[in-house]
Formats: sequence, structure tokens, C-alpha cells
Amino acid sequence: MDFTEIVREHQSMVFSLAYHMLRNSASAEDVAQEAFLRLYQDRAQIVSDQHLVHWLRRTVSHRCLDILRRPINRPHLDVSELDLPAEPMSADPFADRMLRRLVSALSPTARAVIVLRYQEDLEPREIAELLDLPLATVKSRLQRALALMRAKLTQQEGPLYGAARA
Amino acid sequence: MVLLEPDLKRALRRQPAPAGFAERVLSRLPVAERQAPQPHLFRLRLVWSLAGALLLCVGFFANQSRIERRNETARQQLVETLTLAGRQIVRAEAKAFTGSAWARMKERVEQIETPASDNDEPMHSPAPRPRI
Repeated sequence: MDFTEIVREHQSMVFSLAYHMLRNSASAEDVAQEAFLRLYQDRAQIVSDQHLVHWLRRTVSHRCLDILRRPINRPHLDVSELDLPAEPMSADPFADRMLRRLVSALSPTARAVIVLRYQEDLEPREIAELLDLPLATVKSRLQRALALMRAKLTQQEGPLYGAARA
Repeated sequence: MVLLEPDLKRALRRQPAPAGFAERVLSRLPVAERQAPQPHLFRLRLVWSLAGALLLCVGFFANQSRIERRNETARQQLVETLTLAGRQIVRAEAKAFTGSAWARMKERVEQIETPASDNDEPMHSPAPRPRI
């Protein structure tokens, strides 16, 4: 497959992974561009389409984790989401924004686990393989992050949110 | 907790990349290519390095072989020279020994053949056998 086609086909996945982890459009684009440039250099090692997707997810996740673990370069939370790329209208934009804010408040690893689980719809086993973590760690991070977010949502929205959802 | 998952999936759905993203990536490709070593150039350099190293090894061993052959020739020549010299010495010794033996024999023969001055009968002539 032509490299241009590869970029066009996977740019949304790569950019979204970086954006949901970093919560900064400019940083996400930098990481996504860097990932594609590295892919171009290492393209001889890619053996299949599945390998390509795995390689991109892995590269972007680890790069974002590196950035998030550096305190100086940790991106600030966007005060507003004006720099967000045009996204399709959601049924509940306020709830989506709230959830993304909660995700961005998680620890780097938990954030990566949540993004890979719910953006890419990956199984915990696949996430463990991508992030080089034990499966039990991924499962516990996932459960803990969900519990934490639910608790915060309930706290912010009041018990009605939880009650309505339950 | 499970009920939060659809909300998360919706909130974290894929976003479209910013406009012109692919073009910006592709415009950086030549720069990246210049910065990164080309695989075929790297292989070519490796092949040339290996060929150079091989040539050096061959030259070294050829030189060693030439020196060994020269040394062997010199050794053989020395051995031949020494052998020849030894033969000459042996021959000279034999000749000297033979000459002295011949001289001693000749001297003895001369002594035997020379008649004694204080005796009428020659010492070598047998005495006449008495007739019965």
C-alpha cells in the first residue's frame, strides 16, 4: 500500500489516540506526525495490515506516556475545547466533555488503558501487550479508573447522574 | 460501572485528524529521509567495509605466505650449503687419512727394501735349508 494511503487511512486513529491521551491538539498532531515519520523509516519491518495498526498504536501510546511522565512537558488541560478538531455532534456534548476531562485527570498509564479500551475497543489482553504491562495490572487499572471516574461524576453531577444511569 | 462504558466509548470516539494533516506529514518525508540513513546506502557501506576488511585479510595472509616461502627457500639453501660443505670436509679428511696411510706404507716398504749396512745377508732372503 502506498504510504500516502496509509497516512490517510490511519490518521484519525493515530491523532485521536494522541489527542485523548494528551488533551492538546498541537501536541497530539506532533506525536501523530512523528509516529508516521517513524513508520516511514521502519516501513520495511511491517509485514501486514494488522502489524501496521499494532505498530502505530504501540508507538503512539508509548510516545504519549513518555510525554505525560515528563512533568515539565506535561501538557496543560485545555481551558476551553475551542482547539478541538471538528467532531460530530454528540447526543450529550456536555457529558462527553466531562468524561474526557475525567479521563485526562487520570494517571498516564490509566489514561492510556482507558483510551485504548474505549477508543480502540481493545481487550485487556491486547492493551497489556501494547503497553508492556501484566494483564492483571491492566485489569486493575481499568476497574480502578472506572470506579474513580464514576465516583467523581456522581460527586460533580450529584447522585442523580448515578441514579439515572443505574 | 458497566453502564459508564457506552458513554466512554462515545466520548472517546475517534476524532478526525486536523485538516491538512496528511499533507503536512508527507511534506516532512524528504527531510526525514535526509536525516535517516537509507537502508540500501547502509547496506552498500556495510558491503564495502566487509570487502575492504576481506581484502586486507587476504593481503596480510598473502604477505605472510610470501615471507614463509622466502624463509623456507633460505633454509633449504642453507641446508644444502652445509651439506655440501660437510661432504667436502669428509672428502678432505678421507683424502688426508688415505694420504698419510699411503705415506706410512710407502715408508715401511722403503724400509723393508733398503739393505742393511752391517749384515751381508739380506734380512729378507731366507736362510739356505740344510741338506740331509
